[in-house]
Amino acid sequence: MVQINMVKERSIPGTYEGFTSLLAALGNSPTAAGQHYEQLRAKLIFFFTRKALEVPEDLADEVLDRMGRRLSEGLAILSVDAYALGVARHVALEQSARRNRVEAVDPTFFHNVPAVTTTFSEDERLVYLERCLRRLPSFDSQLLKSYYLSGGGAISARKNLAERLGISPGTLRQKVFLIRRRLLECVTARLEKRKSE
Amino acid sequence: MAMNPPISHEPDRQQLRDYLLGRMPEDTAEEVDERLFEGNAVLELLEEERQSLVEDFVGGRLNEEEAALFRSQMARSPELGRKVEDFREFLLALKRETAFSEKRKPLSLVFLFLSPALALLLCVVSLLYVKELHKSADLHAALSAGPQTTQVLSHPYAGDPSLATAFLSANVSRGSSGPPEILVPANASTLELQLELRAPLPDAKDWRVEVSAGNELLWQSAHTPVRRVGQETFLTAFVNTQDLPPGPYTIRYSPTANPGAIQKRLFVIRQSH
Repeated sequence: MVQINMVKERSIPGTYEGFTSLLAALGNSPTAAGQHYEQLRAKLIFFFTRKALEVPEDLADEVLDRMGRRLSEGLAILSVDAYALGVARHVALEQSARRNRVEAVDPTFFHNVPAVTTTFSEDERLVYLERCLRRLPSFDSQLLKSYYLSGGGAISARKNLAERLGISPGTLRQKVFLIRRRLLECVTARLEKRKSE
Repeated sequence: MAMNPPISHEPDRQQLRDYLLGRMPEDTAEEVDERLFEGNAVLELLEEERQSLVEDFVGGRLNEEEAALFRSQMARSPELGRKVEDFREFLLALKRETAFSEKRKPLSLVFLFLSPALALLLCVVSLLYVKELHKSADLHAALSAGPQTTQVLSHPYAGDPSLATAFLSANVSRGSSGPPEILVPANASTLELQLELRAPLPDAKDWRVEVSAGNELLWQSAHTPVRRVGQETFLTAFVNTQDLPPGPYTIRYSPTANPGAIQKRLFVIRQSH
């Protein structure tokens, strides 16, 4: 069965001036600024997630938006990350206060909200995943199978695997994550190529 | 809710998990917040632990409380929900790929055993081919050299005279540039010329043979019988070597019954030492 994944497109927060001001504060080069932007956004999402607030991704974007606006107004910030945490705490307080005023809404209600963008079908992603898996070096492929499929992924099985390889469980986990990251890059590249065709 | 000790260094896995699931006491969680926004070390640890959490959730390894907390987080965060779906998809792909590899295994084994056999066969065929090439080259060389020098067999009898035999083959290579040379040993007094007929006439048993140098007739025989050896037919002429000094000669031959059907061959006499 082909199921279409509907996701909400991530919006670039705030005005163009605010966004460029924020990027300028985040790094000296576009690459460094982009990387720092993603890291800061990830930190904010972790923060709002642990605060059990609705749609932490949107709240993270709200913080970045506010920071961009302040920066474009000429505010000088010594530590962007520390400032972001301060803004995030403020936004969290606002959200908590608003939550107390609003009736609880069934979260599944939002599942039927129309999406802005359409991603590829799961079947298509799956096909590319399999192809990319086959392209992995034999050792990496075997490692993934041993890590995820042997012993049902139990911790003891993974410890045994790490012992057999002569590495610590933490190193094994990082190695596996690295392989999965490469796999994801492969799938993304193929999907992008398919999209441009 | 479990009480966590204050964080004096990087949070351990349990603390990271508690933070992610939102069950860490607020004051301790605020410490982690501070550490998280100080640098990227805690961010990396959290990302790693969140991945483990996703895997444990999909693998059904979370306890009831943890699973419920995680589910409620998924309901609030579309990105987290997508991460879970991505991992489910990855597992499915991994299982399908494993099944595919298992199916291919017997075929791979066949090729594993077949490949050396095919390689061996290829080696043998190559060896035979190279051998045939050499043989062909030798034959070609022999064929090319054949018309140039005709082998002479010496038959030394007791005392003089001695007999030498030369074969003038009918198979003259197209590439030959000159008439065949007959090297006559210095001590030979009689030369036996074995002349192979190219298109022997079955009825012609009696032949006329002449050997001349230019227009000068040096030797002739009006009744030379044909001799058959297997499928080859020869005319044999015995010539005194004194009559054939080194130089070019023409040998003409025709059936006695049909003098018009004349054929000729050229040859050169050389004296060997």
